[in-house]
Amino acid sequence: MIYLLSFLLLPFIGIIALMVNTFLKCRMREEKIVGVVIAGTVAIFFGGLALGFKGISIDLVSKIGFSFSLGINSLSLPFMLIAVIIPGALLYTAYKEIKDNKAFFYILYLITYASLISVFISYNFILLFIFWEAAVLSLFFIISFWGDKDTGRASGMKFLVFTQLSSLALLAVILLLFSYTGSFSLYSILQLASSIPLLIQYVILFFLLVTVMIKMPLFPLHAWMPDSYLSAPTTGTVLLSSLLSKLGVYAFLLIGFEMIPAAILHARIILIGIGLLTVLYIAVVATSQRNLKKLFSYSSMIYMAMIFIGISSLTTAGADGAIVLTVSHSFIIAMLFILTGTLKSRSGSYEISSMGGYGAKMPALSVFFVFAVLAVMGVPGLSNFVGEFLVFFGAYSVLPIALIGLIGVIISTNYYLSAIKNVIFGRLSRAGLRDIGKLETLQMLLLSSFVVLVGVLPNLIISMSRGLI
Amino acid sequence: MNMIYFILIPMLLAALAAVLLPERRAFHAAVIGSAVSLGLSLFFLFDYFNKPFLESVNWFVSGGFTFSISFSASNLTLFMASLVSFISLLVLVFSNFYMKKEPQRRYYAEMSLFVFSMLGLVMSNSLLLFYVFWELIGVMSYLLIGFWYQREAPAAAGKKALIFTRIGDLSFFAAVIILFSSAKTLSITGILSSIGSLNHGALIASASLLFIAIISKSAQFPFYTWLVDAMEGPTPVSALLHSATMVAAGAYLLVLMLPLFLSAGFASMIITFGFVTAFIAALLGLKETHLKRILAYSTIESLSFMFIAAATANAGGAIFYLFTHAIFKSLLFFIAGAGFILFGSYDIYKLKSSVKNSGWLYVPALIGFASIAGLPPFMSFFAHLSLSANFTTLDSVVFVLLSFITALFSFRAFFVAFKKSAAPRLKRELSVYVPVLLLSAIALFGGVIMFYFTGIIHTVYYVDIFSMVSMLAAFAGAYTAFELFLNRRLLRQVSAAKNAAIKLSERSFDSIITAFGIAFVSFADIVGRLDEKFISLFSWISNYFMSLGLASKEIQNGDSSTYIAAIFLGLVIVIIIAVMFV
Repeated sequence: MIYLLSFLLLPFIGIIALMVNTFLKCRMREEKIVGVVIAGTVAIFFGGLALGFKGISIDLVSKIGFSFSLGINSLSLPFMLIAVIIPGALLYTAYKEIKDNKAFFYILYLITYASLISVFISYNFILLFIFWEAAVLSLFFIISFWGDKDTGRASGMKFLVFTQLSSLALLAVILLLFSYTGSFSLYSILQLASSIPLLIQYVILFFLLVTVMIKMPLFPLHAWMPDSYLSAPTTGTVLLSSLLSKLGVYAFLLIGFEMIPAAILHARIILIGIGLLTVLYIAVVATSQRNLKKLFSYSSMIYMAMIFIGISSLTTAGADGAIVLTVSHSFIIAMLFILTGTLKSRSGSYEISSMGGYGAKMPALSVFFVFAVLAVMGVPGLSNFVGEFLVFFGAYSVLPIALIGLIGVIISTNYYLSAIKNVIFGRLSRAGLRDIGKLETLQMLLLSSFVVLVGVLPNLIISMSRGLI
Repeated sequence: MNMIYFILIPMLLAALAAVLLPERRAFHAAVIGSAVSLGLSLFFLFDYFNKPFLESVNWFVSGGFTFSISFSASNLTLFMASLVSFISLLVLVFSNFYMKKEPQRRYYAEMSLFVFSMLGLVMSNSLLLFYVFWELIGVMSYLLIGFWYQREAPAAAGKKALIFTRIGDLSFFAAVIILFSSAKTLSITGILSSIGSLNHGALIASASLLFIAIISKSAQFPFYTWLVDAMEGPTPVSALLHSATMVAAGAYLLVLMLPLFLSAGFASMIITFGFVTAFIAALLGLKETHLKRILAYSTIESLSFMFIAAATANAGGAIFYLFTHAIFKSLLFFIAGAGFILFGSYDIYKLKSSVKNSGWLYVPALIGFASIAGLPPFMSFFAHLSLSANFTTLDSVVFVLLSFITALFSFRAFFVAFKKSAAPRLKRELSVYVPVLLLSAIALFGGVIMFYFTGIIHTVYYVDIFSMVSMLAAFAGAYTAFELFLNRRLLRQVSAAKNAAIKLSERSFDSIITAFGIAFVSFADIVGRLDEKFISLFSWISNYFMSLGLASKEIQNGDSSTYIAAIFLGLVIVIIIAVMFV
């Protein structure tokens, strides 16, 4: 039996260690401390998968129903998987990228790490909201301080404004749920939510949509995304795209799918429509991108839209597909952004025109790059395929015309293959290129093995979330 | 139990071995793998002849449905598996010669993965699994066409191939979803038996989407341009993928799902598209000078023959022609490849001027090109008889015309590029000899197989006046080519036709597609700029907040005079309010 509290304890110890390290000038490598914490957390997670998790519940302020409750719900495990593993793989990128104020950065990193995991195991909405905010605010600091020299501040501010708007909407949802069920506890709300009057469910759905559409993001509330993703350091971008966007997915699944499905039921055609609009619009916008990082940022939205469609269809297949796609997309987009960061350090910019012919001099990077792009395109055998299939199957059973979303996938093939062609293929345009080193190869291998694993055995992820209606 | 997927596994292992073993062993891994696959396929074919069975393994469960990996072992599927592994084995052997100086690991790994996927495709019983392998062969084709990615042409050709075939792939994906939703099963037999209960919209939609899938994969009009450009890949790749196997997957799917297409009433549309494609391919092949591209056009035409045969409810004819085509087309690519290594060019006019004699390649080349034309006594003559068995009169008349043009362009290539000689032997090279001679023998004597082919799939053949007339038309075409290109007579009469053909190719279809591509990218640029404007609108909001913050920062500027002023102002306001309201 693994105590869920340890998911909070370990990073906390890590933070203390980092602070001690700085103030007492111990000169220990900050990355080592973080590495140990993450390794420990991964071990606890897999131990828990094998042996079972044990939650905890302590009433803190019983008058308003704020209790410190942790527990595993039917959705937790796949999300925990990505939250536990991806920051571990990301650590090497942070090590290469972050050179100043390391202690502060890694404290933020551990706060983000702990908060993300804890959101998925919170059984009390106030607790969930606290961790949600902690994760989001840490990322604001990461973007503002370690982001691009010129645009970091402004992008960070834009990110903050939008993300606080989404948190505000989430708070509205939580308060509405509280006033109609009398509790902040997930246990109670899950049982009582179906008795909330339909009109109020619609209001809750509205606010939930504000949250989700900003977080994931979806058109038309995606305005913060291109600049934030672009200005953030690679580490920040991976955290944003792999993990923070999945907070929106989790909220939508937890509150939308599990608590207020009646409201979604009536609105699902519109919701699927919104998702399809995003897919088609963003596919076209992404085609015009000449900046590799922006290209991948926009293309990441398409998969979030597919996840949104899958959940909105209110079918088991759609929800399963959404979860598989969530896990799969996190790993793949992490690979893509990490490789993009490496490419920038080799060629000095993200512009595709400054790259070319890298296949000749950087074989290892090219293999992983082509692999990741093929994976994100949905090649069967790799993880995105099963997710896409289930999502579209679920959507089709509700709204047959949903298949036009596949036109977006056709359009996306063009810019993905162009990216490969312009970056990897062709004649070498510059000299002095180093291939990726052993550690980075290991990092990529770790991520790729998950992509292949989920692709070949998607049942691992689907069975993690049994208990979905 | 029966372990039919053992046919696939050797190639998957070979791919892994090719990556992990030293460079020189990659070839051995691939060849051993395909030999084992061939052995197993033949074993299953003979052992389980007329004793079909299914094999399945659970893949994942969702929405109350269990998606499984299921294979079917029937005469047809095992025959196809044997054919694929046989041709693959020969191609891999040939690769030893052709790809000697190229990176071995990547090549053999990609080829092995391709063969693995192709074997999986022909034996799939689940439509979803079929789709999985269908896409995988497309991806491997992309990687193999772009094998020499440092050059612009192969890189562009690979990208074009995958974009075009992906349009078909995603249509197939949509069709699988539609059929699965209606039939509640993914097995091909199950779906076919539930066609009757399909509602009309779903029937037409799924048939149309599958049609797009097969014409894109099999390079029919309007998707044919990718196959011609795909010739940038190494010749063994062209021999395996782009003649014998991958492109034939479209025809294979057509045969498997034929009842669906016929119920949707698509027969005449398929036949029309087929004949249009055949004419375009033949005419374009007539003006082409690159030997591989000529072969590509002839592949497009042969595939259209398979489509037309299937659409006339003659699945046996289509499959027998597929078999024949695999044999003689890979033979021709081997010859072309050997010619390139030995003589240094693919251009038929360069070969004409610089090569004194073609050596031992002459006779196999004659067999190959005569097979394109369908001349007796070669195997393809019998295949032509079989595929035209259900033709209507109109079809037969068109086919006669087509036979003439086909023979014309194929013998043009032959007479220009290949020269008879008084014999000098060229360097002995078993990797080339064995495949070429073996395939030539089959193409020469294999006609007799047609009479026994019914065991595999119901095959008919029909000898009537039209088949005789098309045979004569083919001979006429060969003779015309002889006169025109070898003896250079009749030139004046032909120059008018030649000018027409050049005009046709100038307004080439490819440039239409390129124009469409450019138009789309320009449209995308406009939408992209629109999005930027949209985003900057929101930026205005956040900048406003930022300046608000910066301005209000001034309230706490540490300057005591400001504080005194503020206190004083606040006091005055409070006094005013107190006086007014109290």
